[in-house]
Amino acid sequence: MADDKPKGGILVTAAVPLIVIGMVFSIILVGSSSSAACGTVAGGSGVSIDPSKVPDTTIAGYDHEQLVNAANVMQAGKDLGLNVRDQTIGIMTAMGESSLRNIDYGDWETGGITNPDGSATTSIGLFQQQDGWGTREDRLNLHSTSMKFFQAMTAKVPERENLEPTIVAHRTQANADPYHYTPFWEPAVQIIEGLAGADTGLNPGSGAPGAGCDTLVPGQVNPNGWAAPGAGPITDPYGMRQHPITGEYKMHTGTDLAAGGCDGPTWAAQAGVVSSRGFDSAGNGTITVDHGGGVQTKYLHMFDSGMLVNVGDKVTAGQQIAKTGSSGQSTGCHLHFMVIVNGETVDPAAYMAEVGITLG
Amino acid sequence: MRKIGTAALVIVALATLSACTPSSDDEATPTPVSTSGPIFPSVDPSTLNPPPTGVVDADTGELYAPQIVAVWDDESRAGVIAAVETAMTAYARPDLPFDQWWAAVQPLLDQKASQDYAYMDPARIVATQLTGKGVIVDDTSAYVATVEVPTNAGTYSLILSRVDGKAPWLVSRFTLPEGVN
Repeated sequence: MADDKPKGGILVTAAVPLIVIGMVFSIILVGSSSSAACGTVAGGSGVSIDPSKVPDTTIAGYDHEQLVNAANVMQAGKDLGLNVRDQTIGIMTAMGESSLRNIDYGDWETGGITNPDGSATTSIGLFQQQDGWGTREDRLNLHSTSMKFFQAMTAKVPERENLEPTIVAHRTQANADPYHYTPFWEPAVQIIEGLAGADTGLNPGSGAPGAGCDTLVPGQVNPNGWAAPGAGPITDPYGMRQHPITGEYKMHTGTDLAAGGCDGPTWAAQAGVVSSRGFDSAGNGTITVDHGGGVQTKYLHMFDSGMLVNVGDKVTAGQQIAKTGSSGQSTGCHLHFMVIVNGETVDPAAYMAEVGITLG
Repeated sequence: MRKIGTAALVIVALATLSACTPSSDDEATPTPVSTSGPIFPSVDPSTLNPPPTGVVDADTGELYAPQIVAVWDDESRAGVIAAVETAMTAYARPDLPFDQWWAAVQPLLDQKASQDYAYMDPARIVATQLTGKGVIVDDTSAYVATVEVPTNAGTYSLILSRVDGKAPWLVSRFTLPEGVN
């Protein structure tokens, strides 16, 4: 089973021609039904492989010795009853700390690196643990150093299921950059799936809590280069409202779409740059995408874990940027979609009709 | 370089995700394509029913007013460079205890960065001094900037954003010099 080519590797290879085509012609794949199995393992029990039985192969550029070290990390996680996402976070962290090598000398010995107080750094082993983590023997023992990491992680980050993997690792390691481990998530998923010979349901492309692979679906882009922000129907149109009792007028500044209901896909209407991500004073989770040309779109009501992009990210039309939620002024999961032109909020249905998209 | 990397990652992620579902019954079906890029209609927003100024927004509870459009003028460019220098000066203080460091840094961060940097140990920060002016390296959006700034520990890269043309620039990310963690 471990001879199987890791699933992630196959996916990446298969994706390459698509990337090229996608860059040239902006082709977006049509969404499809999800696999019932996909994602179900992610929160479930851990996986393992006997470290002495790791095949002599390379996965994601990591050689046999590194894979054996990863197997030891997996085993420690399994012994602590952790799930496969936690185990993968362990492998990702060791990649970011030691490139999955059991380094037996500190940065002090090689580079004269000192701690801020001037003392010699003593970081060794897979997780580059300093003296405070335990004896030298323990920190160089593959199983016990991994146990120490996982025990610290479970104690320091109990809410980790709702956090990005790199943030979990950062809060455990107290390293210098919260996002340091992000590039190691994809190879970590490939290694754990390659070694376990199983589809974990983890999404190699994104470790975001809401990014289970069965739920990320690209939208459909029309010949004008635009996409619907979410599936219909329209549950509440744009326009003025008069309160039935108080008579007070309020403005509904967007078009409400069912958008697949809770956790359904929300798509960027057009290519652009994510210019804000967060919650307004009324608690509405909001993502804003700036498309240039004086046009911005806003997407409201997702939960924090349903926001799949960050400020500065470049998104493509039809890219899934969020999972539909119900934060703030919302009584049920839906997407409140807004279009802003030259600073003015406008009727999204009327604007989108101009670019050939019928909302709902 | 950074720009390209980020864009490529997004595309890789997208392609990988779309490949994530079973391949048996859902072969990739390209949609009709245009080779000329997206079409932006030249519409006058006043013809698309903008809300009257001062009306209450039902979702935010705030009074509606048109947003101040952000543009890249000299003032904006100078403003983001100044914001980077302020932020890096506050950030590059490994000598400070966390509480004192955070009191100076947090107000300069956006919401997500305020969550993500709240567990930093400032002692791990390698930079202590700016050694030159910030340089804008990505201004694709007038609301977002990537700015590189040289320090005694190498070049940091910051991502900042503003919610409108008059709002303050807030930091969403400090990217460390190559090889530093």
